[in-house]
Amino acid sequence: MSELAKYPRKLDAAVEAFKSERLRWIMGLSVMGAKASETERYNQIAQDILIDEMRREMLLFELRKRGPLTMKELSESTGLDRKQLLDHMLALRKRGAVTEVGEKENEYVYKAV
Amino acid sequence: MNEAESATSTENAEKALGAGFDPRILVFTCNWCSYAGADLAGTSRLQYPPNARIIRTMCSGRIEPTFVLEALRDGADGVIVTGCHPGDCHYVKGNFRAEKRFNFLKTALKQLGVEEDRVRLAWISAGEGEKFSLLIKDMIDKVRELGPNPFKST
Repeated sequence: MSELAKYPRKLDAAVEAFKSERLRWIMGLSVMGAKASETERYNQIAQDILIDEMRREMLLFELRKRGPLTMKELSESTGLDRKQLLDHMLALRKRGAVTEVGEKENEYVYKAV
Repeated sequence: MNEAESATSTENAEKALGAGFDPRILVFTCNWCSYAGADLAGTSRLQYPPNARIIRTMCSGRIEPTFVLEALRDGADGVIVTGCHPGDCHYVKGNFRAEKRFNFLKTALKQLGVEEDRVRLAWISAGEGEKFSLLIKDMIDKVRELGPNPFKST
C-alpha cells in the first residue's frame, strides 16, 4: 500500500492536488493526433506529476496540522523516504509554500506559509 | 487488492449486510445525451432503484476530478460520470476531455487505495434509457458488494 493510501486525509490531499496549477496545466495539454510513443510519454509524465502533487499536498497538510517539523519528523509521519522528501521540500520551498523557521538536532525546521 | 484492503472491504460488506446498507450513488449527466437518456428511462417507465441522485451539467467536459473526490469525501458510496458517446458531443470535444480527466482520477484513486468500482464512466445517448436504468442497477449491486464508503465519517 502506498504512503498516500495510509494517510487519513488522503481525499483532501487529492482534491488540493487537482486544484494545483501544475496538474491543471498538464491535464489541459492536448495530445490528440500525437504519435503513440508521445502519448505514452505524456501519460507517464502526467502520472508522475499527479503522484508528486498529491504527496506535496500531504506534506502541507501535515505541516499545517502539526506545526513546524524537521525532515526526519515529516518522514516518520508521512512514510516518505528522505530522498523523495528532499525533492518535494525543495519544490515546495521554491514555490514559496514552505519556509525554514529554525534548526533542531542539526536539521532545518520547516513551516507551511 | 492486497490483504489489508480486502479485509477492510470484507468488514464493510459484513457491516452493510447487518445494517441493511442502502448505497447512495451520485450520477453526473450531461444535458444533451445522458440526462435525456435518464429522462427517457422515466418516460418509458423503466424502473431503477431510487438510490441514484442525478446532477445535470451542460457537458461531461465540465466534470472535474475534484467533483468526484468531494462527492466521495462527503458521503457518496459510488459516483457515475456519464456523457455523450465519443464523437457525438454537443460541444465537439467535451467527452474526450471528460475521459482524459477520468483517467487521471482513476490513477489518483488507485494511489489512494480506493476501490476502482466506486467510480465509473459511461457513455449514454438520448435514446438509451434502458442502458441508463441497467447501469444504475449494476452500479448499485457493485457498491452493495463493496460496502459503505469508508470515508463517510472522516
